[in-house]
Amino acid sequence: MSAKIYRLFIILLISAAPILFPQQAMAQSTKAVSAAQEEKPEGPTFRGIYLSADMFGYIYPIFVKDKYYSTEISATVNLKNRFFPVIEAGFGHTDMVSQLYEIGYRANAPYYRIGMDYNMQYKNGKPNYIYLGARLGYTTFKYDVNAPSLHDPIWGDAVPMQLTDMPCQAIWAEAVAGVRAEITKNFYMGWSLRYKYPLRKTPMSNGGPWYIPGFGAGSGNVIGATYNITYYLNFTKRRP
Amino acid sequence: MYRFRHIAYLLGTTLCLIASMTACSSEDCPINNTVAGKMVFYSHLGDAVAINGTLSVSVVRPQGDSVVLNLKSNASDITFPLSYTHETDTFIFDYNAGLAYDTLYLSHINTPTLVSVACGTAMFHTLTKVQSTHHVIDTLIIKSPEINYDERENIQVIYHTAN
Repeated sequence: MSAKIYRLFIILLISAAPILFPQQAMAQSTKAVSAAQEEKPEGPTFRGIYLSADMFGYIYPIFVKDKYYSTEISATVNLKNRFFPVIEAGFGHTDMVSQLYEIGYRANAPYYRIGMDYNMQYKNGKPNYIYLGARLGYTTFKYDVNAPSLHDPIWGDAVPMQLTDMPCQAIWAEAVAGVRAEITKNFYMGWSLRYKYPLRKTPMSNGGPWYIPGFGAGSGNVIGATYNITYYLNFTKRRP
Repeated sequence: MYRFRHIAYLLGTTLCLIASMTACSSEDCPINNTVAGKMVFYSHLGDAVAINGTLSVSVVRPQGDSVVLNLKSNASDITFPLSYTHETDTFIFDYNAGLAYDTLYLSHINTPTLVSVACGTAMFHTLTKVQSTHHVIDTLIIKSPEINYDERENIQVIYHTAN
C-alpha cells in the first residue's frame, strides 16, 4: 500500500510541475531571485484568508461503486505565506446498497478538522506552491445497516442483520500533501492527497462502522483527496 | 494564456488523482471467511497430546444431533461451530466409537457483525463459560474467548491421562 501511495504522489507531483515551476520562473537566474527576495520587505505576519470549497467529494463517487459523498468548506489563514493554520468542516453522506452482498448502509453527519500546512516553497515568494501538513479530524454520528439475514448452517436458524441508529465517535489523523495555484487574481485551484490514520473509534460493537464521515470507508488506514476552488481574502496590498 | 495552462494542468492532475484513487479503493477482504472455534488437546502435565484412537464430535440440536467430526484418528485439535441463536451449545465427544463419552457445554454471546459492505456480514461469538463431564476430560479452559475470522486457540481441553 505504501508503495502505491508513494507512486501516486510522485505521478501527481510530476504532472503538476508545470504549475509549480513555470518557464518564467525557471528562466530567472538564481541571482535575480535572490535580488527580488532582498528587495521584498518582510511584511506582516497575517496576510489573508483562503476560503475553499472541495469538489472532490462529489466528483470521486461518480467513478466508484460503493458511493459516499461529502461537501466540505475550509478557511486557511496565511501567516507569512509560510504557515497556514486551517479549519475544515464538512458533511459526509452515504445511503447505498452494495451489489455483491446487498448490504444497505446509511450514515449522515458533519465532521471537522483542524491542522496546519507548511509552504515548502515559501522562499520563492510566489502564490503557487507545494505544501505539506497535518490534520486532526473528529465526527460523531449514527449509522444504519440493513443486510440479508444470517443463516446458521448447522442449527438452521436465521438471524436478522439490521442495525439501527448505531452511535459512533471517531478521531483520526491525516498527513497532507498538496498544491495550490493562482488561476486569476485572488482565485485559486489546487488539490491535496491525504493519508488518514484512525486514532479512536467507539464503540466497536457489531464490527463498527464501515463509512465514517470525513474519514472515508474501511477499517484501517485510508487515502483521501480534495480538489479545492479557493477565494483569497487579501489583507495586504502585496500578493500572497 | 498562462492562466488557462494552470487550469488545464490542474484539471489534468485531478483526473490523475481520481484514476489513482479509484485504483486504490478496492478493499481487501479476509482470506479466511469461516467462523469457527478451535479446541486444542493437552495432557494434565501441560503437554500437547493427540487422542489415542478415534474421536467423533456431534452437536445436540432440537431437530437431531449433527456430526461435525467423524472418526478422526489421532486428533490433536478440532474446530467447532457455534449456534447463531442459542446461549449454550452442547457437544458430545465420542472416543473410539462408543468406548467413552464426554459432554461439553459451551456458553457464548452471539454478535451479528458487519465485516464491510464489500466483504459481507458474519456471526461472531464470545465464549463466556465452558463446562464438561469428566469421564475422560479433566478440565476445559478458555484461552481466547473471541471467535471470529482469526483462527486461534479458543479452548484448552485438559485430559486426565497423557494419551
